[in-house]
Parts: sequence; C-alpha cells; structure tokens
Amino acid sequence: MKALRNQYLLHADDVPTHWYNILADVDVPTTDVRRARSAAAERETGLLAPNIPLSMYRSSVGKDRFVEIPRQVREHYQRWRPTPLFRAHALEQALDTPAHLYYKFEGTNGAGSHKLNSALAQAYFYKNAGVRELTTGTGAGQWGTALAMAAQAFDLDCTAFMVRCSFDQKPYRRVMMELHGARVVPSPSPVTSTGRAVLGSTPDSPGSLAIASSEALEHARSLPGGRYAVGSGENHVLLHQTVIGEEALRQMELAGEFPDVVIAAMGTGSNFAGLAFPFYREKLRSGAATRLVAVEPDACPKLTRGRYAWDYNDVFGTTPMTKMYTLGHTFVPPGMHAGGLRYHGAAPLVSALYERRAIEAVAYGQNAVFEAGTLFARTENLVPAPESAHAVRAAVDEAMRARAERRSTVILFNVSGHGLLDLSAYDQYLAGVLPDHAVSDEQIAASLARLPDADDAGAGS
Amino acid sequence: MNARLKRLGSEFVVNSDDVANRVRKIMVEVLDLPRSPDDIGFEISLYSPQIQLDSLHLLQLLVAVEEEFGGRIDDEDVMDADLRTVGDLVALVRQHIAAEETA
Repeated sequence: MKALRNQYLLHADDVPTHWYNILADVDVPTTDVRRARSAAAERETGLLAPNIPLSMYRSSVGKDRFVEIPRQVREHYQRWRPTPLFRAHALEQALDTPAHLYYKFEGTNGAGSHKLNSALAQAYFYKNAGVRELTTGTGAGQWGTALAMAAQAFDLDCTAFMVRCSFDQKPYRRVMMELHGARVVPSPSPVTSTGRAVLGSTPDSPGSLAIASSEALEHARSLPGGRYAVGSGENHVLLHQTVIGEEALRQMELAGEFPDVVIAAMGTGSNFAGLAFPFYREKLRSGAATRLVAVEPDACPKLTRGRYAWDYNDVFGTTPMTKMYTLGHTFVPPGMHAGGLRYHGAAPLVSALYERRAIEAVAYGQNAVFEAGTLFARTENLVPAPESAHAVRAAVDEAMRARAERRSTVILFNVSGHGLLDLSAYDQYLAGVLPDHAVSDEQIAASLARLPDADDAGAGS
Repeated sequence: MNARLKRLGSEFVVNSDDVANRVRKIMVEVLDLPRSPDDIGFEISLYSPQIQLDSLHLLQLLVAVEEEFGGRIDDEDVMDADLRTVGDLVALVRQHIAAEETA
C-alpha cells in the first residue's frame, strides 16, 4: 500500500520575498483613525515621538500589493521557515470524514508561535530607526517571548510587563523571556506611576493586559531610546504575518488542492489574517468560493456579538480610536486559558472584511475547544496552544458536517502555536474541572453602552 | 546690491513659503481641520486644541508629505525630531527636501 503523504515541505529558498498587503485589494480607508479625546501622555511629555518607525508604518497604509521583506528579516525567517503544512490523515480517520484536512503549523520556532514573524520584522525596523529598547505588555506570554527573542537577534534591550497572575501561574513563560535576555516585570509594578497607582489602591491586584500595556507604554516614554511594540491588531502586524498564507498557498499547490474553507483562531486578528489574507487575494483572482472563517471564544465574542463602532484600544481610553468590531474597551472577559484571544476588539482590517461579509465568524466555549485540542493531540501527536485549538474545533465541525452531508471538502486551518506551556489547562480539562465562561447579553450591552462618542472626540468628521 | 544674490534670496523665500503652504494644506486635509491653511500660524503648538496632533496622525501627515514632495523621510529624523510647533514640522519637511536634493 502506498504510504500516505503527511507533509508538504518547502525549502529555505522558498521563504516568501514579500509580504502581501491586502489594502491593494480592499478599499479600507487608513487615515480616518480618530484622534483620542485625550492623548494626554503625549501632551504631558510635550514631544510627539511616533511609536512606530515611519518605514514600517508607510508600507502598512500604502496600496502596494507586495511589500519586500528586508533581507535581514528574511534571513532570520529562514532559520525556521518555511513552516510545514500537514495533511491530518490520522484526524480524518478518527472522524471518519470524506473531508481532506490540512494544517499549517507555526509552532516550530523557539518562541513556539506565529508571533515571531512580526517580532523579528518589528525589531529590525525599530533598530534601524535608532531605537535601543523595546517594551511590551504580555499576558499569556507568547508575544513577550517572541519579542524577547527578536530583540536579542537585533541587539535591542527588551522589557516585558507581565500580568501579575500570569507571572505567578506561568513561571516557564517568564523564564523563556529571561533566557532570551528580556527583563520581566510583574504588573502592576512600582516601576511606573500607572503601576504605583494601581498598587496604592489594590496592593494584591492580579493585574490585567490593559494595565501591563499602559505600564509598558509609560516606561517606553521614560526611556531616551525606548519604544512600545505591539503584537497584534495594527496593519503592520497583519502584514508581517502574511508569510504564513503565502507559504500555505504554495504548499496547497504541492498537495494539488485548493481549500474550500480556511480557518484560524481570532484574537485580534494577526494569525487569522496571516493565513487567510493571501487566500482572499487568490479567491478574488480565481473566483473560488473559498470561505474564510475566524474562530473566537464564547468568552470574548467580538465579531459574533460585538458592534462595528469607533472605540479605544485600551481600557483607559488614551489611544486614538479605531473603527472595529468591539465589545467595548471596558469589557473585561472572564479568565480563560486562551489568553491570546481575550482582547475586546478585532483588527480594523479584519473588522472591515467582516462588515462586508467577506469573512465568517464562529464562537466556541472552552470545553468544546479543549475537547478538539485533545483529539488533535491524540491523533496528530501535537499539542495545540489553547488559542489554536479554537481553529481545530471549527475544522473538526466542518469535517463532521462533510461526513453528515456525504461530501468531500478541503479544509485548511492554522495551528498557530504549540501548547507545551499550557499543559496545566489541558490537565484541568482532563480532570473535568475546566469551566465554561458564558457572557450575558447584559454584560455586553453594558460595556457597549460605554463606547465613546466618536463625533465628540476631535475634529474628525 | 548684487542682483544675482537678490534673485537667489527672493527665490529662496518664494520656495520656502511654498513648502510651508503645502505642509499647512496637507495638515488641513489629513487632520480634517475646520480652518484655512493660511490661518495656521507657525508658532501654534501641535498639541493645541486647534491642531490636537497625536503621534499616529504625525505618521499619517509624514506619509502625505512624502506623496506631495517625493522621496522618503528617514526613520531616525522622525524618531529624533523635537516637534512642538507647526514651524517645527515645516522645518522637518524642509530638511527632508534639502536632503533629497543633495542625495
């Protein structure tokens, strides 16, 4: 019997030379980001220091379809890319489905997730702009780990403000960051005035990503060569992640199939965009009816239950507003293990596509996600990150539907990272003590009621 | 007076005023300011209620400046710029144009 082919591999020379800029194919305004009612911190310092290097920003708002990947960044990509594309034969057998299941695995680098794709690019651009230290806020720690590695690669200092409860619960993530040369500060911390204020009122505060990010921003502004680097949401982050989809397009070609459905987990949108955007381009070109599906948690359902509105990116309302699908910047999602999916809003570009019904969205509860993650681990011998397990769940359901309808279908999904530092969550699932977090309509309505009045926020029309 | 020097001087003033006017026109367009470019004085703070610039808008302005004047503004020039007034912004653009001409 002929052995089944499981892997579709490319060579180091096949690492994409360009990122794909979806703005060439979707008419989304990039200059109508409203000004903040109080860009207070900037006014206080009296210095308009852009947080993002102009060269990185320029390509993320331009209309060029392909943006060249700088040589040094591509060389770093070649240390682990192209990442493998697998045919999940074992999972197909377990599901007894006529569907063909393919997955791209982004967890093969040392940081363990897709986050390194953007961290390296950002470190390169910041270094060239004369920046000496990058700061960031991190919750689950995937972005912090990736940024620490990227900063090390480009000889930059790195300080990560890590949410206190994660700092205590996930010591290995802290060690990973420290191993790669970063300074890790539990947040709230006495290092910043934001942290001191929180500690003053709540000495045993478990912290939040909003507080950690505010601390990172404040700390960056206090450093002469410091800048605050973000790991998702912004156009440039989505742009960097498109290497995932560009490789997957070629690998699906090797497999001799084109997906009927492309699936990825939805946090703010960078891993979804990374895989799905290049397929969106190919859909437009070929007229294929491929569906693009974003999978979010029940506990933070920004696309399926949020509103397309102007909102702030942070809980304190200090950032410029963006038009996005949001649950409201004051929405606090329940604690859950897919920490990377807890953000209240969706990236503006993903939001615009969803508003035009160019993509779909589904939401799942925590136990349904871990059930699929466990099945995936037992069949494919790979533990997906809790975030990635959301994509696995949706892929499994698509495959089950294909079985029920007795039709063959080609499914591609993104396993954006491994879950080897999330085993305690799997442990809770196996022990049957993992809670499902329902969010009530009242909770969502309450935070949506606190959306800012965009027309009152500045001179923007 | 040396006519040649006088002509160079007047050309310089005209060209400089042209840069300033174009920068102020870009500001009105990109920031959607409810005022005429001529009403934006060089001494006005970029943080003033009339302008209310934030760092993201600054990047949007600079991309528009690049489209208007050509070339690419250097990352380090932007990161290191001590921008406080409209005049500072105009000076940054003049510096960019001068660098492009000598490049």
